[in-house]
Amino acid sequence: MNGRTGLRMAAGAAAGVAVLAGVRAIRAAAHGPNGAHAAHAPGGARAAHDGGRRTYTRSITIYRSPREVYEFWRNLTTLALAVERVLQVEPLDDTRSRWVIDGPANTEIVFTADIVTDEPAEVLAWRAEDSPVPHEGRVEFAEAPGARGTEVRVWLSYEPPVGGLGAAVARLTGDEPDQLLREGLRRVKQVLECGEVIRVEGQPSGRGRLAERITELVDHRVAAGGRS
Amino acid sequence: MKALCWEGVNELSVEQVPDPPILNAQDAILKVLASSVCGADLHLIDGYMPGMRDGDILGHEFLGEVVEVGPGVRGLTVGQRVVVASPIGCGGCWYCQHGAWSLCDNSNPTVGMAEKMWGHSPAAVFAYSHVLGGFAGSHAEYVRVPFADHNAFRVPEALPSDSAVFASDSVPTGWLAADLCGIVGGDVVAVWGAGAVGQMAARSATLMGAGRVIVIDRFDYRLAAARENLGVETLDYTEVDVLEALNEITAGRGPDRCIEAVGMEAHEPGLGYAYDRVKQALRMHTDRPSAIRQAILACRKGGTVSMVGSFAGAVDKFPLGAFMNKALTLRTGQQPGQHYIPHLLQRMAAGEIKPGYLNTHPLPLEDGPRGYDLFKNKRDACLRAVFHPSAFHPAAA
Repeated sequence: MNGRTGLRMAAGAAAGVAVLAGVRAIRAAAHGPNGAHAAHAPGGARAAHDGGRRTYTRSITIYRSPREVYEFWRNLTTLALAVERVLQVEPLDDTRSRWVIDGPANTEIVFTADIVTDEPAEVLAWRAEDSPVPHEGRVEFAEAPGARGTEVRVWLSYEPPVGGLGAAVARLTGDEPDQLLREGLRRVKQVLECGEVIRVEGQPSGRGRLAERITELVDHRVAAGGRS
Repeated sequence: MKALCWEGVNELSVEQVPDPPILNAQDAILKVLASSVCGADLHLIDGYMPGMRDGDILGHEFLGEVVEVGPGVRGLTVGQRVVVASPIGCGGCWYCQHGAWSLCDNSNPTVGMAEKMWGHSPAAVFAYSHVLGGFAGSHAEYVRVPFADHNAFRVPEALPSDSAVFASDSVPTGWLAADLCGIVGGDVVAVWGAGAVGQMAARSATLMGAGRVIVIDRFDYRLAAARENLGVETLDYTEVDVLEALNEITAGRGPDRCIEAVGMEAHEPGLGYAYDRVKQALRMHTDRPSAIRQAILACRKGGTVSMVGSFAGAVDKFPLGAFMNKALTLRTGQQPGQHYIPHLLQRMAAGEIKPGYLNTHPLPLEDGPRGYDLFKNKRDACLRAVFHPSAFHPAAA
């Protein structure tokens, strides 16, 4: 996309925030998490259980200016570097964008994200009401003291679908919303600070295929970090 | 390719494994020319460090020839001979940007375990368990180096690989140990441990202006190596009372700076089952005093203790009273190799630091298990075994 269109797209990219937090949560939620999540929600994230609604907050410090971090979030091209599983995203107008996400079992999740607050270098908030998992979110950018960069705080709230077997699978594979949120924050931090998300899957080892797969699953489970 | 793998506690074997691919744009692949054993590996081999998995490739102190670079690598080209820092830095986080490379925020892709054990995750380290990233190690024909522009350093031509390989870890760790001490002219420096790191710490202390350097160990041949190669004094703790001897040497003051270069004798990896194993191991090692405890008791009032041996968990009976009442400073860390290596390679090229004598056992990779046996059991006057998976043919580069 060219510069002008790029800006327009970026303007529609509150969905980017949704991708970071909400969408990944949606994908996980589409596995069918049940109430057990909220009951055992990690202490570091203030997870509330309000009539079945889930709310998560997570934060990370990124060694870049608030302006730079904000702009990264607003730009679909850069955001795509940090986010997995987005099949397609298109701007609908200045505040709305349409997202297609790779769902579980080869399904596609389609929804529209609508920016409700946009204060450059300070805050972005969005809402997605036509989603299979309606959600809203907010991300704040604050200058960290001592020239440490930017403190990024994400707040995410959604209505999980009716629970099911998928929840256990999601937890096992690490596809649960809070972990996805922490993982997403780390990915954005890495892309902004050092240009890529470091990988270890695919390295050589003396393990057989099955043992290697198990190792990758365990590594993935501990990939996210963040207080839990 | 061939690789030396950890196959369970005290089980090593050379296995046929896939070659390492480029996984990130900033990766480089090296053909490994020299890869050293390290005392820290023993904690992995003996099962004291959690997070090892059967089949992990060992080795974190190495030098090699660049054979492939990812599209994001700017400063390296195929054919160059480079030495690589053991901790992996991303180059862009606040820590790397401030020279604290071993505290990198981004290089560990599996931060969860470290955060549980330690509160936060430091940098990843090559082949240092899945707590620190699970990166495949260098005891192999080829190794992948992430963020290669930041972690691989060109080796001056005059330096042979068997000496330059120690710029990867032993030399910078020794340098860090002395640097943390804040040595001022004439200081008396005592070093616990005459392994490669202790030897390099002693040399670094001398270069930084120490008045006297005393190395403490129980292996004669290691103490002799320190005396002969570094011109320092030595104490055999099985023959003398170390605290008394150090007080006598300093006329009652105690050493100004004390360096611990031994590592975890007592630790708790944070998991109950592992703790029991450690306690068991402790009973097996009751003849070895805790070096850090002794260093704190020996150090002069207001002095500095610098700890560069590896620890993983918690220790028992840490002498907090001596530490507090003598107003000591304790400093520690994994080496920020990227911060030191360029300068240390220059000193090595100038002959100020000559670590080549540490390589007592150059071996082919196939002899990996035997190399660790020699090293661990201090057989055949082994200071370090260095494996040579491939030969360097600069003409072909």
